[in-house]
Amino acid sequence: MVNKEAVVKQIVLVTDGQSNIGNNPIDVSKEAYERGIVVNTIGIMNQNQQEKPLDEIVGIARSGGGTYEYTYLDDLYKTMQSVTYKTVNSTIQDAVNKQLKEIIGQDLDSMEPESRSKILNYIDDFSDEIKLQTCILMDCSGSMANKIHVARHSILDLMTSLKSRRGKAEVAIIAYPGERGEATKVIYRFEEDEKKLEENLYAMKPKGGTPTAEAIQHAIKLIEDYNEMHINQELIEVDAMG
Amino acid sequence: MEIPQLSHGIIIEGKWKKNRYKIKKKIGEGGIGAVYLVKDLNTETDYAMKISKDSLSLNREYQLLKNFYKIDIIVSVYELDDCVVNGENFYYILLEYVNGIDLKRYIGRNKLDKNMVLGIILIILKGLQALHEEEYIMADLKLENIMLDRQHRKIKMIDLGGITPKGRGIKEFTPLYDRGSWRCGNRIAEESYDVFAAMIVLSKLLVNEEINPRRQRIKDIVYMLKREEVEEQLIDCVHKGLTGQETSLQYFISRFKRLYTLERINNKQKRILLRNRKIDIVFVGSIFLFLGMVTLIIAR
Repeated sequence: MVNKEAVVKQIVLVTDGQSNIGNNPIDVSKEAYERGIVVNTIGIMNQNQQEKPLDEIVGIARSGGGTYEYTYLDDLYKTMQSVTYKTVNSTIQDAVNKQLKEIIGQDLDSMEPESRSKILNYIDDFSDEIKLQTCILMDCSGSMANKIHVARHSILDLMTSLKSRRGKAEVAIIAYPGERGEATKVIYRFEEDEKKLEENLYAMKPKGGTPTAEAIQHAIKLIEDYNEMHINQELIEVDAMG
Repeated sequence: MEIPQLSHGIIIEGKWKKNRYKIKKKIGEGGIGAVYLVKDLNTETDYAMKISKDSLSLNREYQLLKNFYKIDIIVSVYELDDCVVNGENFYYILLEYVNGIDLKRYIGRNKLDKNMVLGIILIILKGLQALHEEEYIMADLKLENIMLDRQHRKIKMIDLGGITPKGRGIKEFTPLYDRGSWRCGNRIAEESYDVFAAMIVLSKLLVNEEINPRRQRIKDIVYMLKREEVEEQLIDCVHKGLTGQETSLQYFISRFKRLYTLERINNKQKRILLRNRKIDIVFVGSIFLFLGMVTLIIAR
């Protein structure tokens, strides 16, 4: 079974348009998934928009093993939360399924509902306890100018909600594009002082194009560096104890 | 999430229990799936079938509903099974079909008088209390999920995906009813979370106007209630629930009971007054008629 040290790693990409600078984000998203990071996408629609325009966000989520969701700006914060919980649930469910196949040669679907229930109950409990790392990629291109304020509050709201989980939840935020021609800018690092969050969020200043691929790449690096640093720290601690 | 589209007449067969159901019509659609009215081909009974790809969420709902079968206000659940639609695997639960209208649609068409509103709130609070005794919180309480059952003249709660064990984080919520969205508290499953949502339900029933946590504050709700000429006592109650000054359901139940009784007495008095006035009018009228006739006779 999955042990308690397991971590769910996810990227939540929030955008109101599509990539127009750099490589194909769908390829990068696939790479993330291969490295154990789920990529979810949220497309913000305009209030009167009926059709679902952003094909790209579907592609990124599919290749990133995650879910996509369309939302109106007002519901963004709710969507960010439901996407997050969905990722945790399905990541654990996938892991359990894989294990079951190895142990008994069948997955959850081939079990009779009553016995499946027991495992699902366990997954439910576990998803509240497992450690979660989230990197939010916030589209800060020009078209986001009138939406960024709500986006800030949505992030703050997500952070509040994650606190009520039993398991640890760590969040980092990257804005794309960054400043002065940079593709990205880290707004908030994992384990940064929470008091600075609100202030830092005001450093998101919408302007310029949408380099989605580079943004995902940066998120992968941020998550991996952070975890590596932790492993090193633990090794040093073990050394010091020994 | 993928939502199965089933048209009228399609037969769904359970993979494990082999029961067969005929789709009659779609009666709802939500975040995780769709709800259809179906007929059991064996017993000819109508059920509501919630069908989805999210087995985790359906399983949770099934287990909870089975636990709460004693709570009258909560719909009953009968079956959990899998089915295949167009070659794809789905899961479903079979629920009691409530033939009626949800409160949101109802107040869109009809005005509820205050006595009725208080009655409904009392029933809801009692139901919540029974749930709290089982150590659970409703969490996603909203007008859309409260049904008026025409046939049995009852109130039923449907869609219980939000129910959360006390102390846990709340994952399913609707901004309007969520105290977190109003910045009036956190999203932890405790009694006062449901109290807050119930007070929003009450306010919506009383003012029947758009309320939105993004654009309004609690004081705006109080203002709207005042404008509707809701009495001070009731507004005070709502305010206490919304601001978290009072957190126990029992407090609200006993206060609403008193208000409900007062309102009924008031209504009765109004009716008696009205009837008395009618009698007076008839009496005075007949005297005039009599006098008129007398004058007529004398004039002859």
